[in-house]
Amino acid sequence: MLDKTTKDLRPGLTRRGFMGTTAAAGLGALLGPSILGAGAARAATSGEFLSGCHWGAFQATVTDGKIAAIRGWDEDPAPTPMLEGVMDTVYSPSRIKYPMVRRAYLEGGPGTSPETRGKDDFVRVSWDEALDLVANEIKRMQETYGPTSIFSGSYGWKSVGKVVNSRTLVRRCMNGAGGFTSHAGDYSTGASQVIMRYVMGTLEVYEQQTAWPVVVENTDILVVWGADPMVTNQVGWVIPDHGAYPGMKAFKETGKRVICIDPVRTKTAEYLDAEWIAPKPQTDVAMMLGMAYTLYEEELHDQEFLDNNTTGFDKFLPYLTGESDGTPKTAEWAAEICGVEADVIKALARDFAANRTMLSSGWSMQRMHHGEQAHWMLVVLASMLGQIGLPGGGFGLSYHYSSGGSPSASGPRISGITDGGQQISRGSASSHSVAAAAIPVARIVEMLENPGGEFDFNGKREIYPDVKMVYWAGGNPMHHHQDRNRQLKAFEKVETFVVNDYQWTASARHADIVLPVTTIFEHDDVESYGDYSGKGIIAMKKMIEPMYEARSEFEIFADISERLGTRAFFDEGKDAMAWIKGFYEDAAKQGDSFGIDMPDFDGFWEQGYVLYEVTEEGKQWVRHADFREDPLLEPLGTPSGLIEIYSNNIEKMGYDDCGPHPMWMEPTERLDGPDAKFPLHVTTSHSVGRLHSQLCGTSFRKTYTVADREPCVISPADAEARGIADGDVVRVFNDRGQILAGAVVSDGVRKGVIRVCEGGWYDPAPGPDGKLICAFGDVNNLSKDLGTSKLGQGNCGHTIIADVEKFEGELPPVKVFDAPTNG
Amino acid sequence: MGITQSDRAIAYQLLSDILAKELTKDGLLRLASLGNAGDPAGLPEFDPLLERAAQLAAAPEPAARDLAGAFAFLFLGVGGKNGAPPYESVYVDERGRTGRAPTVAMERELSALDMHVLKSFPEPADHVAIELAVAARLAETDASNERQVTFLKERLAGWLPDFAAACARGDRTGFYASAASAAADFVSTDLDRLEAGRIPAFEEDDDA
Repeated sequence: MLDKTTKDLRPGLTRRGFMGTTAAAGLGALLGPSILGAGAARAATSGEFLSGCHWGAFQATVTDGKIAAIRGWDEDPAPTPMLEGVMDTVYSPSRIKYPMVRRAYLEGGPGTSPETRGKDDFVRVSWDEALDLVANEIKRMQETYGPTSIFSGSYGWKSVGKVVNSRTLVRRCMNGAGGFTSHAGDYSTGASQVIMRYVMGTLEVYEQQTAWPVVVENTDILVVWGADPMVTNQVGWVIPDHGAYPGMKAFKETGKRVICIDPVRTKTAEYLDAEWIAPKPQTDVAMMLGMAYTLYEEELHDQEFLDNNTTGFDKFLPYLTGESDGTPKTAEWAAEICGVEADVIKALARDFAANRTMLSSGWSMQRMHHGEQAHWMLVVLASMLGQIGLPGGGFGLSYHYSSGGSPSASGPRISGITDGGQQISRGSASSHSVAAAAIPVARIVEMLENPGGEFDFNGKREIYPDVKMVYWAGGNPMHHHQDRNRQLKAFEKVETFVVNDYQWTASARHADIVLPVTTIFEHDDVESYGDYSGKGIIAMKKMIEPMYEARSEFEIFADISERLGTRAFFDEGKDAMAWIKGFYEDAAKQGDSFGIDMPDFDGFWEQGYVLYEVTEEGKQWVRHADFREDPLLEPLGTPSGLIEIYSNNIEKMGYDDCGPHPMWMEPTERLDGPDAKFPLHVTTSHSVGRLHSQLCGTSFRKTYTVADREPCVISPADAEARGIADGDVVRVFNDRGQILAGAVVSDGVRKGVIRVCEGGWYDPAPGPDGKLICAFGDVNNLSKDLGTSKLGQGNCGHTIIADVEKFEGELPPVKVFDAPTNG
Repeated sequence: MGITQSDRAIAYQLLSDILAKELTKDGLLRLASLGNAGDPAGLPEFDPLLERAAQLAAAPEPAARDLAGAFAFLFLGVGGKNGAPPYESVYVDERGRTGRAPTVAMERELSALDMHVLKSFPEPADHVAIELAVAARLAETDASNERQVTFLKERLAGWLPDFAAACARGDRTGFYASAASAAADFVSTDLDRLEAGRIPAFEEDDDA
């Protein structure tokens, strides 16, 4: 009996067709297998679903198995318009649909013509074939070269979820297989998160901030230094509660002073009607030193706070006054460097001292050469003002991120799947068995270029492993890494490059094996609500069937582990839903200690969420209040227990690019710096319409593109000098690379500075000079790949000088996005 | 000798098969053999496609993998904007998304025909191969001219020219450009034929 679903329903070719009997008879079963079966399909799901993503919690309307609309959750005070783009990721033609292998790799094996990556054909393979290729390659690496030959310190903004967590799952799989080379730190805060541990004893960059209601009530002057919280708080690492927006709105309504210090007049500056002070980029430390000198000279500094809560001011002072190096760091000295008038610097210092001032800073100032100095000096400035730990005073390094300062709730947090313990066990076959278990994340290219080479990091000298296989899941390194051309060259060393993703990012296009994964709409998961506020837990229910042959990364890595004989280690005998249930039930058990009656798992899953009350304590919370009050009983995690203006530990490292106290050091290149080869600084802010590179592959980019390209904001003076008009296509270039972009002539950027936001999808095309040009505007073609210092080894994505010209040649089309050309 | 419903069905099914999945080496050889067998029914829309197939098949190493690369470039997202997404929704949605109204319409069409897309072909229902397969089914079952005209006009006729143009721009092999062009041209002349009058089911009864 014929199976109803597999019977070939196509026109019978035994009949005489237009091709003629002879030919038709030779056709047999036509040219391929049937695609239609008899019997109507089962009705697809329809209904309303609550879920969450990096852009917030949302309600989705699903009709006939397709997402018809999504909108912000009713509990969200400020849903982001980017949700539209999130929906589009599911239905973007740029989705990866099937397992794919680069043709030369498929035909020639690992290491075959790596120079053709990004240009070579891809061909579809079955899941079994793809997983066999991956598993066999992992085995070959482990057996031949040892675990350090595999880099799977996969970095990036993987989708939210405690179980289908790409980054963790790839490591878990690799740990089962014998280990891998991992990474330390991140691209966001590489320098600061290292230096702050010496200075404040905590990361600071990922810590709850003094709550917004306290700031609204007590802060007289809100300083936003190198940040755009109105833009960047749209997204969160978990499901953001967007609690910063009511905070900023309430502050705006007080009419109190806001000062934005930034080369760009940001959305935040416009929203808060702020005073705009635009220093030259990369000179923040000099400007802060000018303020500090003013405070000291005019005896406006808080000696009592310095005495009680800090250590080393006395050792810093000779540098500040110039006693140690002959250069007093006066406001006039600072003005020469930063381009802000000395009187303005002095007035700011006096006003900060005379008022309750919150120095909130973003992370851009530490994502540049010598970036460690910026936040260290900010802490010193705040220490001299003596308001750290007072309501609404001090400094804050996370008001722009994931709604730092959103008042905290009281309730259990949900945990998630781990990478499975021991990060690496070195194989005896490893040629560099003493290689580092983890490299500073932004040094990956240097690692590929220098196998066996030494590097400094945070007081240690280590050895780069000889990496031959790279597995990336949940990230797009061909967006986030600096100096694209150098990076692509370095990756040619890699024999096998595997990428999991749901869309054809530049990284996927440059890989050997590409596996299609489900989006958050296509699998079940669970996630916290409110990064810092911890307001609850949201069930992320699968609402549509996986499209094409996309599979959940939990299943993918379980199947790879199966082939490696390590499945039991990987999944512990549980499917994803069992893990979700387990994590929820662990959290629910803690409910009692919070005095919360948590529903059982079925009740939670049915309801879709559990929310906790924001407490009065959460609303009134002041960062470092306890430490200020009693530094002996509530010490910081530093060696002295105090704020370390001078660090003996860093002094012992003896680094030439990060001394024992903050200081001004010329970056390798800067606007108007010594021997500056190019006349403009390129600032690489975050786009209002993306999360780094995410959503660039959707039509949401049309809300901000200019001439179909990434915008390049340029001052009227710089534009006029180059004959550039608003809307023109421009070429931005330096010795490292070149990009096209769409000009936006605006007085909202300082003269000498252009802004091209990071995250534009890399779209290489032949340039007018025969070298590659990015046709869309990926700014990391221009940035320098350099560690911030031997201490932090963070990236220097803001260290770029370049020039710009009107592009007069034949325009290469933007082709990186799959979209209808005649739509 | 006039064209029959059976001829039309085979023509649509052939196009569907070509655009559904990568051709195997055997498939390519079979297709090439059709070109060698001549064109008794007088369907000139297929000539360039069959010629191209014959050329590719005659290469020392039949170019099935070249075709697979071109297929992925055009239809599986590899080619980016130089590709040709094979979904009607992409060409009619203002944001260029898949899974929009044409997908829903095709799902209803399939239900009405008591058919469904097999799991082995996990594509949205407005994939060009599915729309062509339904056209084949309507011809095969000798559906009324009105029914067939309505389907071809509402579904395939509108977007195939854009799809064919995208294939022409992005196809380095010329094969899929010919196939898409054959599809667009065949639908166009086929509509004229259907609107001109009744088409016989079969030229002769060959149920033996």
